[in-house]
Amino acid sequence: MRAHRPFRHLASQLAAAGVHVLRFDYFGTGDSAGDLRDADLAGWTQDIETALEELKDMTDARRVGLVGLRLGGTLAAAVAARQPGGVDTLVLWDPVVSGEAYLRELERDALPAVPPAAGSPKPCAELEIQGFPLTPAMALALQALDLAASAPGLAVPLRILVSEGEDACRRLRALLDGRTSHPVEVAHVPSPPCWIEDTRFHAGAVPVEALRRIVEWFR
Amino acid sequence: MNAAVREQAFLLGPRQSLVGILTEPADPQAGENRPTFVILNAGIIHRVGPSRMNVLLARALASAGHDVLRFDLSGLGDSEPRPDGLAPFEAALADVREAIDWLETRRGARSIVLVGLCSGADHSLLYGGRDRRVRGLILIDPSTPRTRRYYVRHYGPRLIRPSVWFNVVLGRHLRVRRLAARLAGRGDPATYRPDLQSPEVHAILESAYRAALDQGVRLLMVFTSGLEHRLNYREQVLDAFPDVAFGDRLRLEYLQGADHTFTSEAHRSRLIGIATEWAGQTAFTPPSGADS
Repeated sequence: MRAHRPFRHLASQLAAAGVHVLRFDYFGTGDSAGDLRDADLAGWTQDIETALEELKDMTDARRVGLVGLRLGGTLAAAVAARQPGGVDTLVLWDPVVSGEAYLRELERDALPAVPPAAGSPKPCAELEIQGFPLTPAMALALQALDLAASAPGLAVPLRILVSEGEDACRRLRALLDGRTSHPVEVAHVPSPPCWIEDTRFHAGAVPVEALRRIVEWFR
Repeated sequence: MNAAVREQAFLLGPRQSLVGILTEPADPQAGENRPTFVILNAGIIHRVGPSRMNVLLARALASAGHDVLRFDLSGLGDSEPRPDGLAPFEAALADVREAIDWLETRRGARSIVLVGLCSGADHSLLYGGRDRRVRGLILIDPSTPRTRRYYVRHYGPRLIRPSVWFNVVLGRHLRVRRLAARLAGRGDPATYRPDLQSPEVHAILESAYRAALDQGVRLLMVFTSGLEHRLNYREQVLDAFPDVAFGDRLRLEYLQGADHTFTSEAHRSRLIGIATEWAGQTAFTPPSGADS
């Protein structure tokens, strides 16, 4: 939700550079239909494929790219893996590298009323994260994500965008080194992570350098 | 989305520059003769609202038979900035008028209920009395001046707490540090807001409540305990504006424990329940005369 503004600006800049852009919300999020409790990662992956089909249908585009932020990057990589040759450019922006670590991050944000089960490797109760439900099924699915294991098999050049202070992607690069058949480019940008909002001083800030780099990749 | 509602995106306004989502009952006859609800942005959050609150509220109201529009003010969310150079506040009110014009022209809407949280509440209130089509207002944490009772409730418990005096003496207390910063010429730009305690702002708000009530507007006001530094009891708005005759046209709620953006799902559901119930029980009078 906090990334809506950066993505809106990214879309405008890409469009100005002559690139068709489609932005969408996953099922159960944002403006899209559904309740988050009924959502799952398989469905969201399918949502990306539907968006790709819609975009190609609307624009007759012959080449398509995916830009995914955080979990969106990890799911974009999953789509690229399912569609060899179907995705020409893949930009992973601070992607979730380890599902386990991501889940621990979410659990730290759980409302005090429903703390995560301490020491439990697999959450068994629904949590509420920043006002959004995290069902046990979704938590298990997130926990199973492992980008470092799946990325080497991708038949597409990887562009990884890393915001200030994001260490997970450094580890990803080290893990991928020499294991991919396609080039991996990692760009570190001096922008704070755009999904974490400093409401006091940077509310609505747009990560200018990050957007500039992504537009360059699509030119 | 549930089967009882359907949703469609529109480009509104004379320049088609405002992005809005219309949520309506699946049965088009269900919304006849009922007011259309318009949900405004809360701060700079786009039209889905904090924790998707606006989406859920729109779907709940539509399930109860109302048309609901939630749209982005110019320069927010997906809407384009205005080309006329209006200041932000006047631009927001002009956007609201354009959205209501669109609803009237394209959807035949005659009665409008404006809904807003925080800045959205202030925009709703200040616009409400300017347009006779507005028949109701749902104001969630609108700007409200502090009152004598507020200060007693706020400072009373603190005055008898030794740790507070300890921090004041050591210069660690927030107010002492702010005063020191101000004396040193280091103002905090993040705290620049209209001074709600000033007679000018009080007069503007009082006049807005009067204008809205004079044209028969029904009011639902919901306050949270999440803005304790501004409001700390249910009746504060009544004490702040003793010369405004709210009477039975106001339903007043204070949600203890809720934060300002209704982060907790339980508080969000409570708010949506209150709003939906009020929408169903309130007898909105049709607009009289032409748009002022």
